[in-house]
Order: sequence, then C-alpha cells, then structure tokens
Amino acid sequence: MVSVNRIAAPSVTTSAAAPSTAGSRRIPQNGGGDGDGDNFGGPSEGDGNI
Amino acid sequence: MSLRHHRRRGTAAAALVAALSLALSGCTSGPAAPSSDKQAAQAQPNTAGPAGFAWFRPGAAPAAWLRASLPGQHATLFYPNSLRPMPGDHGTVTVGRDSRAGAVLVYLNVTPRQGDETLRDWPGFRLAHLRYDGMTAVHLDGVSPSLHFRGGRGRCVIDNYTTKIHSNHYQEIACFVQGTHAASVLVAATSARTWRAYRPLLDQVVSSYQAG
Repeated sequence: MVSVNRIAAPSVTTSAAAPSTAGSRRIPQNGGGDGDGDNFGGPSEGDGNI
Repeated sequence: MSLRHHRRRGTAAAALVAALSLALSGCTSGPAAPSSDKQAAQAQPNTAGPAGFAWFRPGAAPAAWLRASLPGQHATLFYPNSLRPMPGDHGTVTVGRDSRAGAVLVYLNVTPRQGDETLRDWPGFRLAHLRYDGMTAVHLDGVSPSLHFRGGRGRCVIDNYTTKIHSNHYQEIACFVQGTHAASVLVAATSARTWRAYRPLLDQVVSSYQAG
C-alpha cells in the first residue's frame, strides 16, 4: 500500500500497490515486463536489479 | 506509462519551464528559472560548490508539502502538492510532473533496497545500474561523503545520462539511505536541460527525506 498523506491532515490513501514479495523483488527493466517510464525513455528508477 | 509521456521534449516544454518551476517549487527558494528556450538550453549540469553537496541540510519539509511512504517502512518522501503520483513498480513511490509536451519536469522515486548496494559502493553501483539498464553517456558529476539523513545515513551521487529510448538526457541526485529498520534508494531527477531550474526543489526533496 502506498499512502499519500497531507501533513497534519486526515489521511488520504491512494494507489493501492501491493508490496513486493520476497520472491518477486527483482524488477525487470529494459522492457522486461513492467510498464514503467524508464523502459520508455523516462528517468531511471531506484531499483537495484543489476 | 505511454510512450507519449516520455517522447523527446520539444521547444514548448522548455518554454513552460520558467512558469512551472516557480509553481512546482512551492515554498522553496533559489535561483530564478530559465525564462526562455535559450536560457534553458544554456543550463549545464552543475553542482553547488567543490564538494557538490554543500546544499544538503537535513530538516523538515515545508508544512504544506505532501508525503508518501514506502509500504511497511518509515521511509518517507516529502514533495510539493504541484507534483502528482505517477506509475511505478509495486512497492515503490513515484511522484513527479511532466510538461504538456511530455517532457519530464520533475521525477521522484523511492524504492526499497533490492540489490546488494551499500553506502560504500553506492556510487559505482548506481552508475553500473544505469549502464545495465541501457543508459549511455553515463557521467558522474559528484559523490557525497556519508550524509546524516533524518532517521539514518545516506550517500548520494549526482550524475547525468542519456536514455536508450528517445535519447533523453537526464540529470539526477540518487541516494542510498540506510535507516534504522530498512534501506531505500531515492532518485530525484529532471531533464539535464531543466536541471538548473529545478535543482533547488530537488535539493530540498533530498534534504527532507526521512529514512526508513
């Protein structure tokens, strides 16, 4: 769950992304399966799949 | 995320920089944004001072900023409300803003530690990772010493690279931050063309990051 909250305000929750499990922590890049921006010319993420 | 959102920026994107940067920066203060395409084009990768990290001063974010935490972690990203959540991998946090033309104006990403990166090897790890992901012209602009983040210690690099797809030229501050309970990677990036304009905002985002 990714929560996005305004500081000092009631909680507002958005974008329910399931946490990665231990077996799926490696995130494919270079078009390897996900649709993230860094596969399409966007900035590189902070993943450590090296 | 569609290809359209990351196609190579046009001149319209640069023209938007001046107006948007002020809005994006919120409560930040810093040098004025480029006011024209020419000025934006002249903006070159730059670091603040010889060490390049004199700007880093850990502290609370402006009260009006929003926050987003990694699932199951204390690691928290603070950002102005001019930025919006963006698509990213499950278990990560991504916020940012693109221009109408699809150019990346601000890109912030927090990801739990996934590899073998450490504070010691972070500079080499990050650059190797960029190259592994197909980036070209990867250039290291600065390496920090160990920094005292809120809730932990971290180490950052400033670098720039060109993407394999669309040959977009980005510059980033990328930090590995070890908190009490968990480690995470913070990326704060923009186009190299708009680096100078958004640098104060990126600096403040990094300085206010809360370790996990």
